[in-house]
Amino acid sequence: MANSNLYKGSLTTIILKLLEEHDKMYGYEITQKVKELTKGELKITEGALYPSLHKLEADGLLDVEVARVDNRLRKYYRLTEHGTKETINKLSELQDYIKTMQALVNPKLILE
Amino acid sequence: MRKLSKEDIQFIDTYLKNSEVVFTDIRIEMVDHVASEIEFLMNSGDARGFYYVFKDYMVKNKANLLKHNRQYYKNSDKKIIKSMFKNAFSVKGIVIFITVFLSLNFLNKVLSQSLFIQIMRALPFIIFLLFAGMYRFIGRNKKERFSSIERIAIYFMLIGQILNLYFQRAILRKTVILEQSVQLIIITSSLIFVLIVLMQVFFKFKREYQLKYKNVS
Repeated sequence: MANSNLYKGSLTTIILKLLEEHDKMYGYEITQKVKELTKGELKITEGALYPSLHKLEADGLLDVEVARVDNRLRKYYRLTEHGTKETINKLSELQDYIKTMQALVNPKLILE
Repeated sequence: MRKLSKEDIQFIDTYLKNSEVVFTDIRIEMVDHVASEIEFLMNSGDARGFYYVFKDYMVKNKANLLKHNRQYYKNSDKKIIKSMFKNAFSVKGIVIFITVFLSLNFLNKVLSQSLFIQIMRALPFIIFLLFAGMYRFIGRNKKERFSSIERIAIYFMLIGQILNLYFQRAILRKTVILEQSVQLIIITSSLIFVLIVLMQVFFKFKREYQLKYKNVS
């Protein structure tokens, strides 16, 4: 994506949404999933992803599980109960934002 | 499907450790990320050996990867402060504060003024030294260092400074004490209480890390 600032504010919502759809995920898996879903348009860097994951963990939205996989340890993240509720709010906020932006950028597409 | 060997993983771990990624909880994640990406590249047609792929990856991504290492303290602070508030305002926390306050109040009534002052002067420092010693010798493991546990040291230092400021320069001037012993008891109880809460948070984090990172050899 040419301007990564456009998605920065939505990174936590993207993470929460992915974790809502998958039981648990690890950092690299999240970056690859986003890349796959956006056909390479959106690339989440390590420097942006991990601080966001740690912030969500500190806020009590994510829980961590460490498992040994392929000769190394892997940190899996999953939504907490509070995280599941917050995902609904965040997604709703993001949808409202997208709607507002569409109204601003392309008002003809908005029928109502 | 090519997978990295134990030696390759150890190489990445040592490299990151030498690049000042000293905390185990942060490094585990970075090692896995780097290893996953290298495996992906090797399985996507890069026929070179591990070392060459790793070297190229690090040249391109090291700065971005280490940026994440420097941001740990913000989240650690958030976790520590949140846990301290949670403990302080829990039923257990309130009971602890009341117990400390009533105990000091009791001492004020039964002891002579000079002995009470001596105890008030010494008690917070003794508790501080005891807790700081416990933290230093039980909590900090040179082999495996964890970000939030190490960050607690900053709070011990901060409380140490407050203790020094209050008790050496302001509160324990005899004239103030004689006139305002209730105020002194409240301040002393609060300081002792904060130390107890900090220790509770320390033990909570230690338990959590032990549970979550039990696989760390």
